[in-house]
Amino acid sequence: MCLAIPMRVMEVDSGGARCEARGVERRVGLMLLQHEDIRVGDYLLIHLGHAIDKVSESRALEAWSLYDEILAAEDAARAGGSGALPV
Amino acid sequence: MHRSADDLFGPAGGLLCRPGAARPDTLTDTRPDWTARLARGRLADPLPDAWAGLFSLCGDAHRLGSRLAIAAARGQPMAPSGAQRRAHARATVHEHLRRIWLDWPIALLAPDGPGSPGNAHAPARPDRAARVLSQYPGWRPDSAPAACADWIERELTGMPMTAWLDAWADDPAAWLTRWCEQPRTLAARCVLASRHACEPFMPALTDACMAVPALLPRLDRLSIAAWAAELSRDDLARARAARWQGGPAQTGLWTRLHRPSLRSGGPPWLALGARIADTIRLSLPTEQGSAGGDWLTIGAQGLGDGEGIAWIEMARGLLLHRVTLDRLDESARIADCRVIAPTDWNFDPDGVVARLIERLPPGNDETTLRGLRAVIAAYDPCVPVRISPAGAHRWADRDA
Repeated sequence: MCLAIPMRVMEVDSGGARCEARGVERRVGLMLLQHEDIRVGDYLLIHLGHAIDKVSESRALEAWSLYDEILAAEDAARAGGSGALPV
Repeated sequence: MHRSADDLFGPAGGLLCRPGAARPDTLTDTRPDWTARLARGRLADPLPDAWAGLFSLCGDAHRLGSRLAIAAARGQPMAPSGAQRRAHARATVHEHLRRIWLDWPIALLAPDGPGSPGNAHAPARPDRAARVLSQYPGWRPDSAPAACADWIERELTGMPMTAWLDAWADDPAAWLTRWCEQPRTLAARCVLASRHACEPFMPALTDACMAVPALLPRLDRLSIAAWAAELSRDDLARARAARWQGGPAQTGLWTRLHRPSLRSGGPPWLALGARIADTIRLSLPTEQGSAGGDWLTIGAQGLGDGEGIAWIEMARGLLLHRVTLDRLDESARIADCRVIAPTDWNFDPDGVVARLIERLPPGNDETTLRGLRAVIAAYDPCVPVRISPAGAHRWADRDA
């Protein structure tokens, strides 16, 4: 379903921002958030190369906690396990 | 752990298309069915916020749907407030505008293709389209509805939006044909390009659309209970089965329960018009069952034994949350949870998009790819789409 990945802002310049999540970096446009004050350390939702929303750190970390559960289950499934998610 | 970009965006899975192949090989859905596994055993009350964080693009719709389903499962069904309805309408408009300005130009406007007449007024390049989109006043929480309406009339319809809507309601296909032949806005150019892209495959595409009924359930208690039972049985057989009246169904902006605009289907490019019409309706002042915060149907029904189901019309169509609780008090945990999104209906291996792609010729020639992009843009999946064989041609990377 419609997943957008929360990423942490590493650098802001006139052309956009450099963002990171779990070791993956992306350069993103900030045009759709012109009404927001975007700073290093903020968390953004990224979609199709554009930041579309600023989210709280707690919401970003909760989303990442769920992603980590999914990724761990997929790793387990690839390794021959059941792929069952921890509950 | 350091992860690659594919690892990072992998959990959403994707759709693999094989133009011209016979069903069920036309469309392969690689999305893992992790929602039920993720929910099972969690405390019920925090689950809606967890879904909101995870399904970020449509997070508010998932939060509301999940909340309504849990309340209904407890035997305490609640109706969404006016403020919740208005917020959902606003979020849906935002999603429509992102699709029109960020997706449509990439999918439909080849640099020298149909619909790209070099009109200086409307941007063709994606970054220019995003710049225009950034000027929509509604991104600001305190925006005035009149300013949003002005922008929509200037940048989307190119004319008074109520006049556009009246003409659409009168005869969708005839109006959209007339409107896009003098393309004054980026959206009109995209509609024209989509129509051109579909033309080589007509009337086969219209026939395929009409073969799958619109998802228009009756939302009374008995009908919903029977439907939930049907979904439960299908869930046992297939990980993500979306079935209505025993078969596939299509859902989208053209199957709104208050007033479906294309009950009998139509060529894919008409779906683009339905998105414009939906944007207009949601931007008008609230009017019962026809505009603003009251346009989208939202509801829930308790089914007894700790089970509840909620339905909420969203940007891509009808979203269902069905939940079963292990007890009814505040320590309740999730015994079972199913989330059925519009993509599950439309991209079912026997569903409408599979039937449309089946009608395209095999191969990756430019005419076929244009037709495929028009189909995908019309039905708007929420996950990446790739073309087989060998992944030599990608329609688009729709992730971040």
